[in-house]
Amino acid sequence: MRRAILFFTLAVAIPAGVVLVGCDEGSSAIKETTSPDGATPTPTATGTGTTPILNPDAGPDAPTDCYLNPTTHLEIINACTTATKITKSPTLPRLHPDGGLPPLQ
Amino acid sequence: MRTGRVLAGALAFFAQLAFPVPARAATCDALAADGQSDAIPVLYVENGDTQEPLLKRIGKKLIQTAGGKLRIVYRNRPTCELADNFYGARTLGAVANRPIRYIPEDAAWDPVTTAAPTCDPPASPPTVDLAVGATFLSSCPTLPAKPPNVGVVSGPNQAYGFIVNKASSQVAITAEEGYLAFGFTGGTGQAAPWLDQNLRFIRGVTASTTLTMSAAIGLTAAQLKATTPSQTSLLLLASVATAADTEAALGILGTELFDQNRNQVKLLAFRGFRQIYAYYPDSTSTSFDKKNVRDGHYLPWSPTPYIFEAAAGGAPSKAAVARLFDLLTGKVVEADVDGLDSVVASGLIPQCAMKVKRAFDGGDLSLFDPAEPCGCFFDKNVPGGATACASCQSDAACGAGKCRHGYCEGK
Repeated sequence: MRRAILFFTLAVAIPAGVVLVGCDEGSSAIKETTSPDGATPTPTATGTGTTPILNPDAGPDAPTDCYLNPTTHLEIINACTTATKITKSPTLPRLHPDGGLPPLQ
Repeated sequence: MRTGRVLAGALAFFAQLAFPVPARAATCDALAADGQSDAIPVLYVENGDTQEPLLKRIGKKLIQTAGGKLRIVYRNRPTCELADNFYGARTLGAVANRPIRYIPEDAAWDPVTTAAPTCDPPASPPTVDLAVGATFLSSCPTLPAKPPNVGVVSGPNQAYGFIVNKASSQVAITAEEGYLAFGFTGGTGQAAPWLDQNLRFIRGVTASTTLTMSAAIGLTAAQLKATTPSQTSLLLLASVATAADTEAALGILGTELFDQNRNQVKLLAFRGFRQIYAYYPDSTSTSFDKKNVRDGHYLPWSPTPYIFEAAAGGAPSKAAVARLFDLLTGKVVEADVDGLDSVVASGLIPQCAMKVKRAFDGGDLSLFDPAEPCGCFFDKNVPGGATACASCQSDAACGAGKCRHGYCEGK
């Protein structure tokens, strides 16, 4: 379930040029202010108007953009951390509408 | 102190580029002509150039030790080439543009700021005792099957990254951007600002830096569209550092070389496929703790394979190889030779400090719990490092934990 929610979030938010912000450790999350197209990430927008829940068993105050107790690859690379994290939302015209990579020429 | 070391490193960096050390008259198996003792046992090594800082550091300790002295004679060579050589001829013969170097006995020689002197290949090339790659050997597409008497074990982990000019405004790069920048000719990938193929710098397709970085962005080394590959990592670094178009230049580099040259280029934070944020290898852009490599937030890394002739049972047949590996993994600490300290000081990450692992370049991560952890030692000994772990002399100070390398670990 958690994996499905994260896949959904990434599939919708990132291709749309939107990266989630508002982590539980928001003081360490910074935006890249000089992305190639000059765009800056905007607050959560999943396309559904709902906030993704990545830690459904951790209560209402659980972080919504990172995993508290990672075990799988997807959870490990998106685990909650105090490290500096950077949002980036480049405009990449060659990506497919669903965010998929184009085949090499 | 850190500033001084960085400055000294930068001076040494440019000195090596501007004034290459000329070939000496001495051959590598008879160094007396260079004022060296030929009585000191020699370990012949071929290694990725990202591993040279480690070999120089541990080599200095091994030749200065009051215990059994050992001289390392080594040559930098791309990972797939050194593995191919070890699986086949296994000789340290002449290779164009790849000098052989040795660790000198001079106590004043500084392994951080000074290039190791060169020697000439003997007429009868010596046998390579140890090959140290810097990525998974499974990434080498033409490597033959491993001979039965050859052993391969994982040494410390090596991280890599994308570098840009110091004046670049870029801070991070995503895997998708890397795929589009390097996967398409010219600027047809439309991954601005990296649209000039002549300003995308890579190593050769047999080099670990290229193999690991290409895997991180979903490409093979042969699929990268860049300018002519750089012969060495330092030359690549110089190309990025001196690029006229500071925004378009993009290169790849081992993070330990970046750490020694942070005043020359910038390392970009990296966001892998299916990752929400981009991260530096370290917890911040200015720290050296490799926190994000160790816990899985930073993805371009691989173990360094140590390739050796194995005796029955799989252990190295040559005692000097076993000694070196035991020192570098922290299994053994000699009175005046701490190999784990050399690993950490060189910007590498010992397996005992890792919390994740993977099986091949670009492969998924899984949790890793080292049998004999050394995370406390690692945290304390990186530049600017600190640890909340208690220091100790024995297990008695650690309650249910264990005293390892001077600090109380959980087990």
